[in-house]
Amino acid sequence: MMARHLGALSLLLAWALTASAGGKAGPTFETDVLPILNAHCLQCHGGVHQKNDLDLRTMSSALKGGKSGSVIVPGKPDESLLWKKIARDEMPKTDNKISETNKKIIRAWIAAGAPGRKNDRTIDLARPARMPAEVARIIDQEINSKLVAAKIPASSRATDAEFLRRTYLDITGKPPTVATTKAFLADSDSERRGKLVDKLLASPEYGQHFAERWLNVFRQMAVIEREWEPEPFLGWLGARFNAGKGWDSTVRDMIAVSGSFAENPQAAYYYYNADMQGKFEPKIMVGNLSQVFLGVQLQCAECHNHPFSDYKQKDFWGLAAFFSITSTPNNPPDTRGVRDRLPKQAPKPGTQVIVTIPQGEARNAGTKVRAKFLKGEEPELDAGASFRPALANWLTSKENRLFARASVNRLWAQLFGRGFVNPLNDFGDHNAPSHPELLESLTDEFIVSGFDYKHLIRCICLSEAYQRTTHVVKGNEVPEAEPLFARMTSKVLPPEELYDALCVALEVPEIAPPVDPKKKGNKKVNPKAPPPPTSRFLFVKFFRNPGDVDEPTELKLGVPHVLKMMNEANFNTGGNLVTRVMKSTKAPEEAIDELFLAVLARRPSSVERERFLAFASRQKSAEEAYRRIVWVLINSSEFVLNN
Amino acid sequence: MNSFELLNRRDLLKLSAVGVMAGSSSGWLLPRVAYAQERRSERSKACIMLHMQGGVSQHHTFTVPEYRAQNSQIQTALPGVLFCEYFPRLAARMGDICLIRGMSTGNSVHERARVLMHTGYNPNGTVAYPSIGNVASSELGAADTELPNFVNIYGGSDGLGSGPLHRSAPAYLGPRHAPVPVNDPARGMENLRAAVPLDQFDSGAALLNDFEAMSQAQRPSTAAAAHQANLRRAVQLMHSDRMRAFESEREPAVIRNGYGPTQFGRSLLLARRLVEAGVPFVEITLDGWDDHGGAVNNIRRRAQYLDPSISFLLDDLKQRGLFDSTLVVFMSEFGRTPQLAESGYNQTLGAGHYANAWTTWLAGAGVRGGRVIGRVDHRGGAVTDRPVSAQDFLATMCHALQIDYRKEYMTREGRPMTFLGASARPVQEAF
Repeated sequence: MMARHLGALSLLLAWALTASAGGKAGPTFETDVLPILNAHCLQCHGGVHQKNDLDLRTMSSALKGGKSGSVIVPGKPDESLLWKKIARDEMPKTDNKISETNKKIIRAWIAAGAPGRKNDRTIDLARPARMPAEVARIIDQEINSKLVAAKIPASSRATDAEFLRRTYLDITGKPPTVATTKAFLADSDSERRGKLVDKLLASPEYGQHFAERWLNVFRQMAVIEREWEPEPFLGWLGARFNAGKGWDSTVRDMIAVSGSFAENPQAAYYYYNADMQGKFEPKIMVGNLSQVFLGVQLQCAECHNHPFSDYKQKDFWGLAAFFSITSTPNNPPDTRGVRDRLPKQAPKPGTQVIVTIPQGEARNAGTKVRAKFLKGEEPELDAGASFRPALANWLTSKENRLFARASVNRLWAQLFGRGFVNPLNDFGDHNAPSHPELLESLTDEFIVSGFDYKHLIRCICLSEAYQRTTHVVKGNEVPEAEPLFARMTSKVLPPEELYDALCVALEVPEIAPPVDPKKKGNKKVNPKAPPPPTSRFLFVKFFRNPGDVDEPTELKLGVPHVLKMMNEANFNTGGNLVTRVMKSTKAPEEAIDELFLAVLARRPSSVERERFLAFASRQKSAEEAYRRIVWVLINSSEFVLNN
Repeated sequence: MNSFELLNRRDLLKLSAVGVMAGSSSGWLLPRVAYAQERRSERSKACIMLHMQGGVSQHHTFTVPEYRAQNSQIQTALPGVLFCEYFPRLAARMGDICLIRGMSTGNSVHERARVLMHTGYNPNGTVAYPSIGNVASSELGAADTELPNFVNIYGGSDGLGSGPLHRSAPAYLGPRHAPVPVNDPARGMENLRAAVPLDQFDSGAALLNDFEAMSQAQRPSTAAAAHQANLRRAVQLMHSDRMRAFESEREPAVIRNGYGPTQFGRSLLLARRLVEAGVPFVEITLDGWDDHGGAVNNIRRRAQYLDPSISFLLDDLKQRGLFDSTLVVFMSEFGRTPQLAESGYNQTLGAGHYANAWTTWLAGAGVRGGRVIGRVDHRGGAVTDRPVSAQDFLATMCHALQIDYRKEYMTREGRPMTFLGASARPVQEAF
């Protein structure tokens, strides 16, 4: 067993070493030259404009040349028109000239024979899923080797308290209660961290949390924010996560669904891909699903060929064709749900499934495009049945690495605050991953495990990389350390998690908005009216600005939110926490410990304890002191962030 | 005396005795007036945008058709130019107003048209565009001020709603330029007052400050820095005199009465205070204009407060020396139908949505008053002279506010964007 692992590990090491050695031998198009072209050349020689018919987006098109013939003679930079023009600063024509360093890179690349990146990697999807501890070791080995190469030190392990709050928030979306915290901090089992992860993955809150996170992704991609009841869809998605269903089957069921919302809650996914009037639009669906599930900005190719990447309008509309006969009603919930407008008579065999580029802002309006998988075949489709199952199957298949890779990257970003590729929806040659080999091996692992989210989370949470503290050590506070995961990143709590964290901290079941004294009084309750919005809903509505997209490391809250948390009565009374602590503790030292444990899931340091005790002793009463202390702790960065 | 009456001579005397003209006994206004004048001369313009949400019937307000008018027309201060009889005070101030009668924007679907009129683009699901208020915040706002740079005041709803209130999302300009909402002008900015005595608040804030230093020293992050910046700014605001701009109750009664007791009137007063204190863009939304059931009675009712309140705003701005630097905009998402048939849903005058020919107006900030730009035919159904698109309308606002609407911004995806397109042209006749 050990020997086999050692063997696998050494193979991996050897391969990793050769890969990096190859990189040092000379520049490749994708890694070194394309970023320069992207920054200086593609505006005129890319997907939208091709001056002189020269397209520099890919190696093959660059080598093909344009109206002036070939611009690159491999091995001979001085005979290459591209080099000559760049060397003289004749190109680019804008003021944004290429630096001397970057010119050297281009010249060296041509001189080396204009090589592309070698892809030596063999993918083995026949193997079984690995043990989580083994995957964790692979993760650490890759991350640590890059840290060593960059001479950046890694921070040490997080304390148990840090780890506890972090995993609770990451997996269940809620921080731990005081009782749980005390128990964990007193636990001496050497396997306690692994067992904690297992316990949290087995809790229903895990599925509910991940469903809510995904629903927010869909909501925030939608054209318009509509206040619509998401519960059935949320419940369906949560149940899928909790049951451990493969992510591939979940996404497949969302895309291929036909039928009423009542019987198929996942049909609501189509509602998030509707236009402003609530009408489902294939082009909106394609723009969204390619970003979310494939990690590519295909939406740029709706109206014109992609300016920077090699995606054409045909690629975009080829996917849209699968949805060309799909419709939804304007105002769900509705008995009809998602349906395809199938022809009344069976169509002739061999009838093509096509879509026409519509009049409007798109170029090439009127062009007919056949249904086609992205960078793949034009499948034979039965024109008398729904086309969407074929698309759903292709999208989520083991062979479609884009899907598995984008999913892995997104999960990594959710746990680490940044993906291997950022932004998450912008994979491509122009945007190389920070840890390409690790991303590929985790992608393999995700596929061979059956797209098992829980397995992947377990693998990641067991790694040292995940367990690092957010505290810096000398040498890793620099920005270059961030993409190398030298320490854990502090992550912003989305409004739902902030609300739940406040309820846990203040030990209250809900945080109700203040009642407007003008609006008090008897109001006849209309039994037919929908139920009033919950406190959580109202809190989230206030704390998320309309149109905002949640980002892991970018705080979106502003002064109005901070004013609310500082000055609304709810946050000044200390909730039930202070009441309990007043009753159950005698000495202020004990009370302060309890307040820290409740709000921050840790005990104060000795410096903190001293400072807070001094503060408490100056207040008029113990109650006032504890209320102020709770106020301080819930308004702190430590509370509103996931460290 | 009708409390909506213009300031008469007696009130003017009273006010100058009290010192409103040159300063104020309220204590608040005196230093602020000086400050505002200082900033105005060194800084740039400000805008008060009256966003009438739902579709204002031009036939019952400022462009009454000759054919089948449902109400009498009255002369304005500009000979030959007629308003609906419900707006006598604004008619008297036509000399300040630049009327744009040739609005022709092609989009008569509420939410889409609201996006078009605020951003210059129809919504397309791929690219998000900022609204004029966000752009003004970005280009005219001061970075270091405690006051927000874009305030969005809810002026109430008086009629049929037509969907959610338009949200001016800042898009590629970033969250800093999102508007600060004021849901009730009488309440001003929420949560500015501490829940405990201020000295207690301050001692808690000092402890928070120390705790931040202790717990964050070893784990720097942009998110923590942003949170700390918010905390600092919030505490500053709570101690700042400048936030008194939100406290309209400090105005003398005669001013408050002049704006009137309605939510809309109070919104105008708050807007004036904010602009005076240095806020560059204030939008007031009055919802409920979607008069499918008939515009006559609804607009007559609304005019009872609109006419005096808006007139008072124009006068008040003038009296404070703010008129030349403050652009007042009256706009909607589209107009309403001309007479299409004798009867039938959306067929009668002003019943349905209509974007082919409708009316907006501008005043202040160097816009030439006493002008009518554009003409419609006798039914009010087609623009016969000088059509103005949404992009041109916004370009005109930008020109008045000295905002470069062709300035390039970079989105996160590396796509260069400008607020308006290459063919946007300000209506030069307005200047």
